[in-house]
Amino acid sequence: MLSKILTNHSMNDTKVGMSSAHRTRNFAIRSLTALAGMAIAATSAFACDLIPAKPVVGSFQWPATSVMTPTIGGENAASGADNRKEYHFTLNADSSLVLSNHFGNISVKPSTGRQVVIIAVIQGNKDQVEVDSHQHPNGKRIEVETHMLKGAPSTTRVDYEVYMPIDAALTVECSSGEVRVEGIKGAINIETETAPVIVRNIQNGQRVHVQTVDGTVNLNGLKSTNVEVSSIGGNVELYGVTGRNVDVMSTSGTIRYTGNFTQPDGQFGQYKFHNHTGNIDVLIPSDASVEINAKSRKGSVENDFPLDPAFGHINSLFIPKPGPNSLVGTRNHGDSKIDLRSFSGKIRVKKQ
Amino acid sequence: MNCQEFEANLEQWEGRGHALAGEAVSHSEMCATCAELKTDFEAMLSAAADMPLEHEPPARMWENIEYTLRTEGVIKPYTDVEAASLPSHIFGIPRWVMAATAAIVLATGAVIFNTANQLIPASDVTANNVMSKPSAQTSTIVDTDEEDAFLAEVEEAAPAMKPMYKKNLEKVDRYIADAKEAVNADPNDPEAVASLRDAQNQRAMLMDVAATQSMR
Repeated sequence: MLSKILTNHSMNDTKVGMSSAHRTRNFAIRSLTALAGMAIAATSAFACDLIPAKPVVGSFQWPATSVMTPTIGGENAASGADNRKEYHFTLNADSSLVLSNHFGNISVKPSTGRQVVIIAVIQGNKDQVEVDSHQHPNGKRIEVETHMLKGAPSTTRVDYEVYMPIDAALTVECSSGEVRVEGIKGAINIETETAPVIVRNIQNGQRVHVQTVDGTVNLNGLKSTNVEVSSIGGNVELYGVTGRNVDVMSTSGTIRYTGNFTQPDGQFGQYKFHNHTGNIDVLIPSDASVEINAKSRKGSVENDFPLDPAFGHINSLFIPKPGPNSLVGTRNHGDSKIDLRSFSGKIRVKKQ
Repeated sequence: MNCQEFEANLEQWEGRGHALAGEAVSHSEMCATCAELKTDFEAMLSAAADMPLEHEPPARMWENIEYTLRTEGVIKPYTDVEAASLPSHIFGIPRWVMAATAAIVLATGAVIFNTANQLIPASDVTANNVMSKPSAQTSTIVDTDEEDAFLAEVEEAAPAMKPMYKKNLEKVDRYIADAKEAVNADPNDPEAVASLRDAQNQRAMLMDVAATQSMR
């Protein structure tokens, strides 16, 4: 269409008897204008992806009526002491559980089949706490939320013990307490303010995504599972964590990894450990097949792991020059790519 | 000299890098139309000259571009009328080459402009629709009014959490300041640019967690 418009204008110029130089000038100007518009449109389309997303901030409106709904969505067995509530649901395939509990511990483990069992134990005055549970009519989503009523002392909390289908997705929001998840293979999203996070024993999991402001993160035995951790002040420890993509970012926390970077099926991956002022410690067995790029802009890089000079292509954003604050090298075939970056912290690569 | 003669002079002289002289200069000073024509030609020549060409592209590259443009219908074979009335070359350069060169110049400018705009200051990260001021280009922490407002909201909603958020916000601001300093030192350093993006993402994450938890 563009070429047709340009051609029509050119023919009009011919018809009105415009000179060749003028026609040429006009065609060039129209072409440049059109190309400028296309370039701007293309730039705008791509620029959006490069701009960090703005945080979504909204206000939460408490429901007009207080709700104690232990019965929605399935059978309920309120058992034992008044402070203990138990909820039962059935989740379909491709389903999810969302649990929001700002004060208290949360433990999540796999159940048998499609059953969901949620046990909530109120620590404090039960009349000052509400536990809302709701299952979507299509049976694919369960939401559980703890509400602290006005006047509830700061020591009031609710501890949850959850059993859910192994393949269901899990979302957890917890301010303080402890979040512990084991064996869940569905996509896991955990967000905490200061609560420590422990995720263990997951093989072929879909994904583990952890965001915490000041909580510690401990990931142990996550095999062939993509991992993404973002922590500002909390330390992050990874033991035997492997996946196609393992990204850990921290501002001041220490990042510590122990393992061989190789998935159980022999597949390799890309590992990025970045922080600002925290240290990065990596312990690797000598039989690991890794390619390591490490750089600390204002800190130092120490290595006692036997590495060969890197050859061939290096799949990294940068290729630092070897020196007191940078390191490049491979071991065995250099299959897993390890990218270690710290602004002013110390990076230590050690033989396990 | 009339306008026709002026146009002929323009193509013969300026198209070959020579400045106009004599009657042609006088005519351009008197005739607004021809003066505008002269200005436009000189602007196009200047834009083409500013293109950084380190190597002369091989002829087959232009042939491939021409083939692609013709296949996609961007350029058409001329009809007899057009062929007779319009020159196939401008200043000795094929017209389609001029168009392709203009596209490359614009695309390069767009990439450079886009790269510069990746250095989004902390002022673009918002919380509760509050914009923060740009951070200083040193390693000192900037305590903006907007960050004070954010912390005031946290204190109102969850007083016990304010010291934690204040401490971590300071850490992230230091991260952003250090990353900006690195980018300012070398804007072409991809590592520095990536660090600035990481730092800004950390700040956005902090605000996001506060919004979904303490400030609910």
